[in-house]
Amino acid sequence: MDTSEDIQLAGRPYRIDITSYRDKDLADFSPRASVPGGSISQSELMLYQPLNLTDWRHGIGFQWHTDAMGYMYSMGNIDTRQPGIAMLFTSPTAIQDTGDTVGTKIGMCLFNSAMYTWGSTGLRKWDGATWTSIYSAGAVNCVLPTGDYLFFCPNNGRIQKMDTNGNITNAGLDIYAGDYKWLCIHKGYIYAGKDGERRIHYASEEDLSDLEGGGPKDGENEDAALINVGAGKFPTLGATSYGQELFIFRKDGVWVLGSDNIARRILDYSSESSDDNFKGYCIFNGYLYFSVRNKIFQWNGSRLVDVTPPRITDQFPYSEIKTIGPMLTANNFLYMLANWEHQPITTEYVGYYGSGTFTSLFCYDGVGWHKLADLVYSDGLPGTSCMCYDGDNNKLYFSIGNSVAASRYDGYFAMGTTNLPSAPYQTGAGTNVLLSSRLDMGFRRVKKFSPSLMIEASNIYYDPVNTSSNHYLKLYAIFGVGENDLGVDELAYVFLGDVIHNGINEIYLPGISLIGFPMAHVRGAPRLGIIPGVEMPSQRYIDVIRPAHSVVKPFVSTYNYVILLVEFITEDNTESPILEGLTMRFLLRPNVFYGYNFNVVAADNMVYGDTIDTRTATQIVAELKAIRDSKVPVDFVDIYGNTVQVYVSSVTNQGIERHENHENEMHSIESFVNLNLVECK
Amino acid sequence: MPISRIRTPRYISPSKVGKRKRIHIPQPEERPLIFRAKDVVRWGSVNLEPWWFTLHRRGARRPNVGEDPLEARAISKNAIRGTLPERIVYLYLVERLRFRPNIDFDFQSSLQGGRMELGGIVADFLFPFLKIIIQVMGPTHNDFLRQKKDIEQEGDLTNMGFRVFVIDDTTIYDEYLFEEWMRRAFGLANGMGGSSGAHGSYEADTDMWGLVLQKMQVITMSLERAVGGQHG
Repeated sequence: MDTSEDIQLAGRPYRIDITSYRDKDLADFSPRASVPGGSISQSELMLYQPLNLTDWRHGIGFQWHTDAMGYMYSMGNIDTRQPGIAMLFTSPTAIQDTGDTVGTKIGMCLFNSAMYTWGSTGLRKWDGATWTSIYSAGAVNCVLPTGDYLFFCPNNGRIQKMDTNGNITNAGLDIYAGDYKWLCIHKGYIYAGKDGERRIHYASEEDLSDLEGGGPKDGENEDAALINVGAGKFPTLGATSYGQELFIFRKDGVWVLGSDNIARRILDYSSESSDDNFKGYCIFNGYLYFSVRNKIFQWNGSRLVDVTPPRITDQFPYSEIKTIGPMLTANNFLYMLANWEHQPITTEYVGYYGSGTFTSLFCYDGVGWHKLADLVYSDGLPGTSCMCYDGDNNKLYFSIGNSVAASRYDGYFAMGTTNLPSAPYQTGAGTNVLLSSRLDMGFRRVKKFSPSLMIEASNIYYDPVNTSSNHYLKLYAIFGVGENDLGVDELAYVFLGDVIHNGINEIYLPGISLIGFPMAHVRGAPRLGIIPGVEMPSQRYIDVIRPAHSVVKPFVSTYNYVILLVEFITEDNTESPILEGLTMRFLLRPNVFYGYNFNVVAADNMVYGDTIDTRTATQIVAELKAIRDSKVPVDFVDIYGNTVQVYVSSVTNQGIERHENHENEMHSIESFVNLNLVECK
Repeated sequence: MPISRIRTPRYISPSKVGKRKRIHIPQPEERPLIFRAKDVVRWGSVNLEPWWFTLHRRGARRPNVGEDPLEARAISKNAIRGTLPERIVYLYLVERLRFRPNIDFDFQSSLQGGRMELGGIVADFLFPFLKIIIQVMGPTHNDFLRQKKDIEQEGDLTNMGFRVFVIDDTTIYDEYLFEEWMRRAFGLANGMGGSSGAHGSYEADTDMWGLVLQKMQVITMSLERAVGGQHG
């Protein structure tokens, strides 16, 4: 810049009143963000703001922290249904039916204090200790337990009944009473749907001695009271009694049976009829829930609501529900077995099992979905899986089919007598992890800084020597640190520390020294400070004594967003560490930008040393007004020669002096033009 | 027989339904000049320049930015016309409990004339299938006359077959307490019988006891009416 000019604006030089020059930061130092869970009760009334996570009951699927009680997802066995806490969910107990390694179990029920399963290898019984075969002559399509009898329907065979002494005899009116697909009690009758047919029959005798099964092809043995469900060849798949009506499922829709014994279609899915439809259905909290392919609907008899679990993870390819299996209502929760596609957000975080199709136990509490337990990590078949609940012994039985028949998984969860999950809990590390939403404090592009976070925990026990009884938490974080030099968004995964005390534990974030200065360098790399090119003094490094069991990684905890991972570890299967709350301490640190204010001297033919500005005051003012009107930013070279892009946000012209020109009798006006400039980045 | 001679037979006692005197809440009078709190100080006349008073130390300027957390929990003002607590309840019903407005529930449903008729009732959230009503109580509902009016309305709604739940602003603003309240109202899994919530079970139970107390008051008032009716 020429010495004869003070500044340049849009390439034009100007002389200014140097004493009027001001430049000032226009960005707030650290605005306070409004965030869900920004509980004032956690505020320390100092510099840092709190973000409090203390309840996880709204469940999975919140990729961004828009809900104080939501989180992204969990891995392993984690229970987030309890108010104010998160803890381990019950570990399943295997009761593998080793006597049947090739069969597929498609249903299970309780009868006479024993659990029965049925499927391709017939009817089998679990008495709490051993498996025995009850019927092995062929596949069994369905079973219905009543007080006195256990009715079961062999495939292509006559319906049978077993009394409480285990005696098996024929049921039904005649040989045509057989090959049923399902049985359902409704309004004093037992309804039975023919396998592979659209017709249903019904009977009222307790031993089903009046149940017929003859169809149009059976001549005079045709059941005069049979009911056809819809037209076409689609067979009925099942039925349930809800709201004093019998709802019958076919792959192309739902029919309701009227009091005139005519079935009418009430919901039409003929446009998406599939063998996967209605694999799961149950009645929960006054509503009928059922699945249509990979969707779950809630039906109240007049309107339909989609209640499918939301997308689970936050990066493409997303994890989401893939195949839905059986549903079950117990203890005021809806349980469901389903496959989901696991696509982890990074490949290194704790709890990572690799990509693939997992089969898990999901739970819906009427508000949010929770993934309680990951059960099978490959080839699970929810469509040929089943569940039942033993209300007397508080056990949730399950059998998960597998494309590798011998890998079928039979087991149960000991559910406890209250809502709380009971022991046993899964022991060991690296499995059970709760992942928070992306905590962006409401401003995704603004950098944040966090020195530490508070984690409240209870039922913690930690002995560094004798570790066999330990139960504690580990804390990790995935920082979204913004773009790298290549313009790619980077994630930084770090271990933050162990939570080994009951009550409040303060965990320091990486890069924070005890004197509170950020360590802006990578160990082993040039020790750069916050000012480019300036090395940090060695005494300001982090390499001093850290709080016990916290580990610092070479990373500064400034971030765009952070995902917190809490790992639940127990070596004692009767104890679960309890997570009560996480309080992130943070500051918003928006980028700074500056404003400038000064007076430009506008006069005719100003002399600067040896040079003369040939512009008139009128021209100078007109130029500045034109720059004010610019729709694009203009270059501004300040008094130190630095160039920035600015808008002229204000022009105030103030006359100072009048000069008479006697030759042409025109006035020459000198003025100060006060400018406000706003830097734009 | 002349018409004037026709009288109600003595064995038919005339019904008092509809003739009962209802509580009338006095409305504020219209005044030609209305002062608001912000108008009391004439800020134009106050010199806020720092030279004549001492600024208290508040540290660096740190304005609050972002959406109000309570507004973030509420449905937009453009969607429905209602108070902030009502809009919070509305969004919870729609988003969390997945109710369909105008099908599962009616918002600001008018009964017995609603606001158009003196003594009518406006039910904040009316669930026709579930036969329940949620009344959101604002800050003025602690006034004596308003309390009596609320009890009277609750009695009327109970007589119409609805179960009335009353929730106040304080409960709604505390999202953990609100979560617990809603779960209990709709029979979902909650803190009872299990662990307590973020605020402990005590507050939620206290809230529930408040409901029980109000129910008792309704029953007492109904009894008083019944006894009074017999004597009258």
